[in-house]
Amino acid sequence: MNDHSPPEELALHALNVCEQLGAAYSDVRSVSTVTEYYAVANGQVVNASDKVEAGMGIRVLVDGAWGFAFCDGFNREDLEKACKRAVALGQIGAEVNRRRVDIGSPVISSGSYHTPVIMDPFAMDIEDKLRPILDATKAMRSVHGIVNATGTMEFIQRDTQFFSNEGSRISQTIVESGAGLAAVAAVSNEVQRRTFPTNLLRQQGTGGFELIQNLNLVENGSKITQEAIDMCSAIPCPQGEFDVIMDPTLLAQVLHELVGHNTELDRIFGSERGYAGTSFVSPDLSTPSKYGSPLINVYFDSTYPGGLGTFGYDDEGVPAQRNDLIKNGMVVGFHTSRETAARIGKESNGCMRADGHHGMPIVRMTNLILKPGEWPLEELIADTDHGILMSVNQSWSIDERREMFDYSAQFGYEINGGKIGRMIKAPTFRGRTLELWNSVDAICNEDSFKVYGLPICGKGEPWQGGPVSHGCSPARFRSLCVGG
Amino acid sequence: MQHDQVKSYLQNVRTCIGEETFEATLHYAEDANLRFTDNYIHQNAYGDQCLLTVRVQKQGRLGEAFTRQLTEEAIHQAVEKARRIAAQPHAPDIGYPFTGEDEIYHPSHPVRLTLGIDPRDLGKHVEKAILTAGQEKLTASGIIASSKNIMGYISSNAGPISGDFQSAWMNVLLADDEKQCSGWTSMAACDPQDIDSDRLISDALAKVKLPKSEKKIPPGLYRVILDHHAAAEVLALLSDCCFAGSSFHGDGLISEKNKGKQVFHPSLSMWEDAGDPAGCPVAFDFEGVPKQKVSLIERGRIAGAVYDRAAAIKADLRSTGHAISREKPFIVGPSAQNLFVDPGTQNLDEMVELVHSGLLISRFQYTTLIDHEKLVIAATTRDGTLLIENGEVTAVLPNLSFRLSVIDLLQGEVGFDDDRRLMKMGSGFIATPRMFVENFKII
Repeated sequence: MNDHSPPEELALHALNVCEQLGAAYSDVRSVSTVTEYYAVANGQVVNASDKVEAGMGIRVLVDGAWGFAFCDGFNREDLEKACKRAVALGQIGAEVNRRRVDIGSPVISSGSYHTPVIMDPFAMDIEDKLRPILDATKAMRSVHGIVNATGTMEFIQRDTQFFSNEGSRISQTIVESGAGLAAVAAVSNEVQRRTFPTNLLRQQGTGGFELIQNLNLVENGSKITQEAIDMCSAIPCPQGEFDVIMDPTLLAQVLHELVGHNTELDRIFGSERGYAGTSFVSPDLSTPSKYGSPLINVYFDSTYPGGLGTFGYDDEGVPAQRNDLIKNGMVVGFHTSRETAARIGKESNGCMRADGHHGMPIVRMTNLILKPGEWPLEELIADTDHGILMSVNQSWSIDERREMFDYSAQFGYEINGGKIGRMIKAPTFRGRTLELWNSVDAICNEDSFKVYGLPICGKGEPWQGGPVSHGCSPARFRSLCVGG
Repeated sequence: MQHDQVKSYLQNVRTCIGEETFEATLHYAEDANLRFTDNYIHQNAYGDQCLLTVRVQKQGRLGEAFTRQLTEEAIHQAVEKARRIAAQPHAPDIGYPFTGEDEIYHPSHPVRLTLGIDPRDLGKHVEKAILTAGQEKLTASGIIASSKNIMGYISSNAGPISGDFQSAWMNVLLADDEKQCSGWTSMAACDPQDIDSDRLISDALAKVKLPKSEKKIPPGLYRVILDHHAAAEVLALLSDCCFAGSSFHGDGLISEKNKGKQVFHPSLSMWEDAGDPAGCPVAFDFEGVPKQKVSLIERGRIAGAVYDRAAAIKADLRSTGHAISREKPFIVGPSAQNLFVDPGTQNLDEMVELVHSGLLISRFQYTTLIDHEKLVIAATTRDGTLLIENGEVTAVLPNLSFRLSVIDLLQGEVGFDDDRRLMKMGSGFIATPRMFVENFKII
């Protein structure tokens, strides 16, 4: 277990210093993180590292403007310097800005949270942890046609303490575990790469080594090995209009880009305008805004067991919660912070997180869920006359307002007359976001519901990585523009 | 932190490790950034952080540990963790020794002192952008950032050494929300004082003030001028994917075996030079090896590549000093981080006149690499996609989608204007002019 936590006294001293220097609001986040990372190839370890990070981030409001400063470690002198810097930065903003930040009603939270863990990965021998992924990649590589079999594994423990001058006192420990595989096949001058379970670095969640055991790496490694070989002889993507059933390995990422980011309220207000882009979604909830078909119900839930976006409190001390974003196809909510929520007359729903102590918290997705429907997958396929079942995100290109997209998947299967046909390699589809979600006419039931973790969602300048999860069942999209 | 402190911490690592084979890098950074959107500063941040990387070898196996704390206890724990990993039977093979005395950087002149960062100075640049935007009934967004760094290196056989480097960059986006269009520009500099915010603001203003055109641009091939950032993105991608380490020793077109071959248009010359004061100079890399000037492309001919020690040893060469930080395991070196591109002789107006009919593209959104062999990329344009008609820039267009092979693109007609500008690209920098290309594929 990490023992880098500073005494509460140090954090309270920082709040005192900030107040004396003129900050109307201040919060202190102390973060200690241990990360173990392993990369393996063909049964051998190629990268093994251990990283420890610890320090404090101080955020203040001075005359309605933000200032943020950070320091490594828990040294009183460095902390006081950071407090002075933070307040000075707030003063600079206050001199320039015409609009003052309003963070709404005080948030006073007190409590603690610890990720439920069955097998503590930090208490295990390295060899025991690596065994499943080494065995998987060794077995994969031994298959004729496979030229490279790789995998990564990561374990993170993040101890955070949050204090605010409003009275919040929170202590949290988040544990993440994750692993993923990739098989590269080369058959008859064709090279194809197949990843497990998605193409989002690896499958990661909050929990202990039991998450790795549940991945059944050896069994799934064997499966993707065969699929990679099959992809080499698969037919190219046809062109035209097709009904597309996206399975969760693809749909989770589509949900992330074309719903999740679009409903981050800071993005809607333009905070990423100069970098990651904006959103076409309006912040005005008083005017109904149609996003998708009536089957589309999307919510986020930061209490969802095992999600990467699962915690007790966000980095403003707001408790984890569940909130609707799209209900029956209509926009009803957003991911918010205290500042952005106040701008629309609401209270924050707890979506502020920072990457370590040196990042200023920004609005982040947590666990984004597309509510399952009624269809068994087999029946949905049987009901589809001229379609493609697509799996695993490969690449994507989205315009700055997230109105248009261009996607490719790793593979798919023809569906003709309700029957699965030939394998298709690298199927692509493109279109407009609103048309996409309005084209959904069927969503599968709980039986095929899956949650996938995205260990690093990039946002902000300087760049911050944020862990998020997405859950969905397969869904059918009518008449998508495929190929080309 | 000062140079002698950096060296002292590295000596502590050596003391802790004793006679074992090791290397360690300490990177200290003092970073300030000021982010603004819609004429409002929404993020103003400042802090210092350090990263100590310790790598230990045991019988040819490697263990690696990082820590951001420099207490005696923290250093000891990092050393122990690296040792523990290296002692595992399945620890990665390293296969080569760490940097020795004959390879390490030896300064031939006194170490340059770093300049200070004053967030107030950064604030003044932003204030100008916001005031201009307000006067023009526009909104200003962007960021200005400054970083000063000290890096140190030590191994069982060499050092400790230390060196410093610094940089600053600014992006300005001016938007007309009523007209729904925007203009964006960017620049970098070694010294924050050299950020020319007046120029950035006027460039962005010129773009956003153009009339908006709803002209449909059908799919096809177009004559395009890539503005500085778009040109930088294309060329930096080419460098990283094709002119770095092992990728240069494959069977592809851009490879060691094709050195001297005319592959690209003869107007393209690109080289890596971390010593050029026109960039953001850095003396040595994350393995303590001095950074060499390396020619990558000479008048369209393949000239060379950059290497770190692992790639160099594999290729039976010497490192060119281009190892990068190992902090993010999914970002692997070597990498050219201080690129320069030969400018042309025409100014922008002359180049626009020459294009006659086509597009001027400011930057890309969400560039995805689809095919590594041909460097096929797909993206959309943004923040200033301008129409060129009859030899003049006449209007701003909606964003367009494109997909093309960078290699094919640079094998066609290519030209450069005379305005070379330093741009931040990833963790490095590239000084590039605007680039004209002939067959830019809009889809």
